[in-house]
Amino acid sequence: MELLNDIKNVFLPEFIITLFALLALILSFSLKKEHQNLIFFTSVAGVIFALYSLMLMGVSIEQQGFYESFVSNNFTAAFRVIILIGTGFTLFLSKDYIASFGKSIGEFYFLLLTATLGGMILCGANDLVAVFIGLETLSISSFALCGYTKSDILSNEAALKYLIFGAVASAIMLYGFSFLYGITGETNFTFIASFIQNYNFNSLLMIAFLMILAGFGFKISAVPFQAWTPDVYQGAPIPVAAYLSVVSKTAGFAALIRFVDIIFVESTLFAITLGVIAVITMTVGNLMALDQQNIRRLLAYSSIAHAGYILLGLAIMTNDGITAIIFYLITYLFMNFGVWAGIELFALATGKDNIDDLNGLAYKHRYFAFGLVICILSLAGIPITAGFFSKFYLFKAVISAGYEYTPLLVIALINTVVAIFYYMRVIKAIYVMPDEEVRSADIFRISFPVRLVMLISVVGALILGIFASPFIEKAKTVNISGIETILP
Amino acid sequence: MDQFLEFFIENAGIIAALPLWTFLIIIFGQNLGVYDNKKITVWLTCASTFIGFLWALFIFLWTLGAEEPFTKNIAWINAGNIQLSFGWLLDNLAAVMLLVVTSVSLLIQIYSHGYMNKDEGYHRFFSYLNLFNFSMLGLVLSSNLFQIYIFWELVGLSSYLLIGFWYRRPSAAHAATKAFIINRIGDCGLLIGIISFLFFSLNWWAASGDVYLSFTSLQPAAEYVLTSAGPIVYFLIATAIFLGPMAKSAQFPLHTWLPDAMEGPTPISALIHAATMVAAGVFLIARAYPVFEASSCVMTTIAWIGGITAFITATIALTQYDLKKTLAYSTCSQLGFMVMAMGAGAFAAGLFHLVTHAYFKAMLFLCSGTVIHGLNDQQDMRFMGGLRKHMPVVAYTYLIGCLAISGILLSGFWSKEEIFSGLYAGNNVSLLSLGLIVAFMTAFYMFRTYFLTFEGQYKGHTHPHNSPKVMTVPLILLAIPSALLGIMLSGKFFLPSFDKYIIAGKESFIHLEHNENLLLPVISILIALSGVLTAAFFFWDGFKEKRESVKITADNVIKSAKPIYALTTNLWYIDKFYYAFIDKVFLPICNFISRFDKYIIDGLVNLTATKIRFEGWVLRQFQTGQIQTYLAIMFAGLIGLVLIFVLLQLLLI
Repeated sequence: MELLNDIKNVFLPEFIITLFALLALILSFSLKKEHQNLIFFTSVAGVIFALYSLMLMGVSIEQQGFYESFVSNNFTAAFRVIILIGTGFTLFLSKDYIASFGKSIGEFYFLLLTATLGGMILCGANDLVAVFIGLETLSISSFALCGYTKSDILSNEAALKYLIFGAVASAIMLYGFSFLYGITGETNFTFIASFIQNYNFNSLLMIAFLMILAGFGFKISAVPFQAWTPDVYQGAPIPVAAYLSVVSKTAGFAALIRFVDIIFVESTLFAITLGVIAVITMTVGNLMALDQQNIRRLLAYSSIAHAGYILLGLAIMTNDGITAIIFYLITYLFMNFGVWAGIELFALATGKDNIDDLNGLAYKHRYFAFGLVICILSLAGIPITAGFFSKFYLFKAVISAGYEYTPLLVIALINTVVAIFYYMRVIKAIYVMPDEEVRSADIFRISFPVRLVMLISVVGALILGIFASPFIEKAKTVNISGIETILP
Repeated sequence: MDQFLEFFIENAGIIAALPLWTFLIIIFGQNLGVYDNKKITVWLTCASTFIGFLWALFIFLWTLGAEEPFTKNIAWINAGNIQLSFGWLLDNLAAVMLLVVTSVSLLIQIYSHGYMNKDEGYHRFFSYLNLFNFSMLGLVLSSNLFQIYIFWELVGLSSYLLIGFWYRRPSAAHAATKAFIINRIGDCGLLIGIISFLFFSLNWWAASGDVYLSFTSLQPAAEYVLTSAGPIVYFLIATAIFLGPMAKSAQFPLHTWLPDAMEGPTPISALIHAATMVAAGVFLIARAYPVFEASSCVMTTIAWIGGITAFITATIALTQYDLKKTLAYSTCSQLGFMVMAMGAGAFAAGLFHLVTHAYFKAMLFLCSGTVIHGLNDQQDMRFMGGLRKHMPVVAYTYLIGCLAISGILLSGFWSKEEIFSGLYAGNNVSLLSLGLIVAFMTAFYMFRTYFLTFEGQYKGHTHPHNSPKVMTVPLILLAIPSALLGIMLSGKFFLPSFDKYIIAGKESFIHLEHNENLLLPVISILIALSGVLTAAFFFWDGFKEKRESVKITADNVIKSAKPIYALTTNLWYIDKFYYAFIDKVFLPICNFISRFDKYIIDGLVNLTATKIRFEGWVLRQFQTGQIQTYLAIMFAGLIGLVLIFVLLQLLLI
């Protein structure tokens, strides 16, 4: 009975995703090849049901389940919504992309739903073991997804690199966990936090923190755990790359924020650590992106840079910062999926993914080019797009956090300027460069689901930019009932 | 009934949203190739405007019974201590403007269906028209100064698009650019004015709890700014805000764009550059009246700028031969009248003239459009004449318009008479005499166009052909308010009074009592009649023998007053002065400054870019593609972090 109650109170969306993942698996070996499309609809239905159940579940008060190892509240609900919407987008992106490879469609959806399950567990995990289980579920499914296109050498290489890197990161993290367990004798976040409050600070705790950071840093691709990102984004199937850059990252951030805000909130030293990692991450991401020729690698570095900005919101350790992060992740969901959908449309039509290949695109497909440019401008943070307001709000939170954060802010602002340079290169290719090689591929006839994702993303990026205030207010309420009790 | 009206009040934003949706439907429908039927476009457009008109009618009914203005606001941007909202404010002024805009728009849209039917840009034209409607209605509904600025820019944009509608013609492209640039000067001033006004009153708004820059509490805010900024700064702020209306309503010295704007299609000249958008400036003056009213210097400036505009543009209109240009200068002149009335404190009179002018000037433009259409794009009056026989409907409606604008018994008479009595009551004798002189000139040049176009012998080459019903019916419908609106709202003979309606709830405004003497109306009618007679003497064939017998013909007069004639035909050298200023002063300075930009700023930028690229190159050397390197970097980084922070921690504790 208690198990059922726990599922009902805190675990309902995850449970639904589990059921549908299993259903997808069963369908994948029982259906004929012509009917495999049904699995796509099953998965979409699963995501929709999970979203719906999240609405049914009362999330306004914090509830715990499974011997307090899993919590559900407003904060985790916000992240779970982002993850589920991101998964929905990924499903739409994959439908035609995966079908074009011909074989074994079903397992892809199964793996995707499993990864989502891992991400959602990561959001609500309130126990070191639960964190590890969530992380591994997400990681192992992602490894398989990366290598899904078996005949593609790049895809194989990506999967292997991701696997090795992920295994090492997990091992380091586990080592950190064992330190933490050794110090406190507890695995539950709440107990650890109350133990640490009365604990005399020492280097052991710092080492444990840094090692645990390696695991999260790997998921959100923060420096120096970022090296896998460009290779994997370039090699993995495009929907998987989009999934890694948004959903997997969101899950990593959810766990990291809860972990830091509950356990390590006391000392300024952790804040400094996070701040330093944040500025290094954004600087490295932006500098490396400057001369990239491949748009997928460019996006990989851009996603590293964005992880840096988001970490900045965590480093200031205020409620405003958390609100800014949530809003940032919502906008990031739309603008990044918009760009990835654009890249996929282009790749499906032409099979190319270099920036030069986009030359003169605007004169061929002006709506497509326009949508792509809106999303890129949003990533760069140009006004009236969502990206501007999320950056604006984040930097405002940094200013109001105190004068000691001003150096971080200055570096972040310089980075924003540098970033405009490489985003503009893409826009320049689309609008200004002459169209030397004629590409007659007709993008408008390709893949309705991908175009739909693109449309939703562009509309989202514009609406969030023009009417930012209501969403920010919403993000504020999330934060207050979520973890305000823990933050000072 | 009340609840029924409440619904329309609560959802007034729909009026503006309908044209926006229509705009989106047309533009996407066309570009994505969904439909290609002109009927769909025109029906959608007219339906959305007609619904807007009905909606405005219900809002008008509501205002008759309402005591307080209605406002509804939605928070938009919260940036630190500045909070911006948008919403709608419904009061008597907004209701009147909504009615004028929707009714004139509707008729002009019907007319455009005929006028633009053969044009290949038909759908584009209607999409722009809807964009304009959206912006104009949004402007009228705006609840605060900041929102009105956004829509102010949007009407400017739609005006630019429509002036340059035939963008392949160089003259149209130039006119559009000119209109855009001159409006930019005004908009820039407006924005500076709004921002500095907000800057000085920021504390006041924060304390009041009202929507920032809301029109309803502009008066106490203006007083606060006046005390906190001092009269001189306040004068500068208010004048900067006035720059906006000055450009948009084509007031001297920023009036030069309006005559050129006649390069656009004629329905646009009627709708945007005569009836509605150019009146937006007057509307803004009315909306932000407390800001100007707080300082008498500003009011005097406004009144004199209006008066000077009315005079200068009227003199230019005397000598124009282009039918549309004459009407354009007459528009400037009438707008000058309105602005002058506003500045002199005759608030209601200025708005009354705005309303009546909207109808008769729209009609005059549509008449001229029909003539030009019928003569295959001939605009020069020297090649017209005798058209009354070919297009009688147009001739008689045009005559009604001429009578109305000249102030002979039809609607223009009543509104002009109110302006005159307002000036008289305010003891502005100099402005009053200026106004009467302009009234004489108005009667003269309007009837000059009438006689040259519709009377006498036809002097053109192409055969004039009549216009379809879809173009003449709007003319007839517009003729009714042009003739009767003035007396119906004059407040005389037990008819409803426009003044009382518009002033209601604004007792604080200067309210000039009308002294009911008959002298002023009689004088103004006599002056107008003498203007008509002078025009008839020079240009009507009935007087041909007489004027030749006394040897006073138009050519002779021109010869004897050559310097003045040259002045007016050269548009008072204002345009030439502007061009010379740009060529001789502005561009050399720009060139000089651009060198600083080229060598120093660009140099710095290039240097930084090179440095950053170099750093990027260094970092990329670590991205070898080998997993061993990656892991080594990772461990090195981790160990580095551990060393740094553990040391740091040991130092700190």
